[in-house]
Amino acid sequence: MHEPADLVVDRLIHEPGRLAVLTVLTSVESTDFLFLQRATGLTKGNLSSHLTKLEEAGLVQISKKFVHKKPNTSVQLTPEGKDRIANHWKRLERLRNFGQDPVR
Amino acid sequence: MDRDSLATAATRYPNLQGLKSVPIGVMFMLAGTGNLVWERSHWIFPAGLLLCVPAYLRIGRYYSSSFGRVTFSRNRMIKDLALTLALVAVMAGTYAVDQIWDLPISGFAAGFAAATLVFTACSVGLNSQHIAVLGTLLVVALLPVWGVLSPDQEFNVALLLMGIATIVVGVFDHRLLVRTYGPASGVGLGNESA
Repeated sequence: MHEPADLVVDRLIHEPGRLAVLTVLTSVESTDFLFLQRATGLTKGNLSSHLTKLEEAGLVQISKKFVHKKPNTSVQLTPEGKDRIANHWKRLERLRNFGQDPVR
Repeated sequence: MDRDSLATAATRYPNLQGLKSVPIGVMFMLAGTGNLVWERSHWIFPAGLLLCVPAYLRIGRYYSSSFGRVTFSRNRMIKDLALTLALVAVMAGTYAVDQIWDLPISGFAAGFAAATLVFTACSVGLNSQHIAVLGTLLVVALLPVWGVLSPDQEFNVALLLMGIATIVVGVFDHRLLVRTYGPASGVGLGNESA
């Protein structure tokens, strides 16, 4: 069965953990790993695995540095990541409206 | 999962770092009581600054190490700076009004309460605690009872009340942060092995 192209969800982004991470990142330049953990409620291992997948897909950029002599992992959306998450939320909105529209 | 709460999590975070308001509130109170009790002892304010600036920076580090760091876009930083400058301008303007006209109200405290309410509404959004504390300060400042005080006393009592309001609002914001993100010493949190 074929689905209309604009109603197909992006499976990489649609996973709840990754969707949460990308949504948090939409409003900032960058955040560190700890804040993402706090904001999404994901465990360290889970978040780390999601970030690796998102980085491999080119949606986020991860940089590691030392802050006050402690390692700090900083995460930011790439331009492609910004586009993909914005389009994904638009698509979800359309899907929701599609479900609510009466059949003509 | 709620999209709005996720999308605003980072933007609300700096404003929920309420303990940073404690040294600021203490500075207001020190300035007010210093002038009232010790009759313009000029060492009180610099001494307070020497204590409160390191305390403010230390509290900032506590938030970074316990809840994480967020870096905002240049536009957001410009907006925050503009709001802060507007707050300072309102305070300076209302102070000048109080000095020029001998009004029976405290324009300085009223201006601070109103501007802080607007600032909070534009940044983190108002909650019932903000409205209760800053609304009470606004009402007290607008009561026509301030005429019994000299202009100097009026200014210093206003500073004292503003300090108390700043600290109370800050404590409520910090409690909201902990309720939202969990206690400072959460298990399995950190950047080290990320």
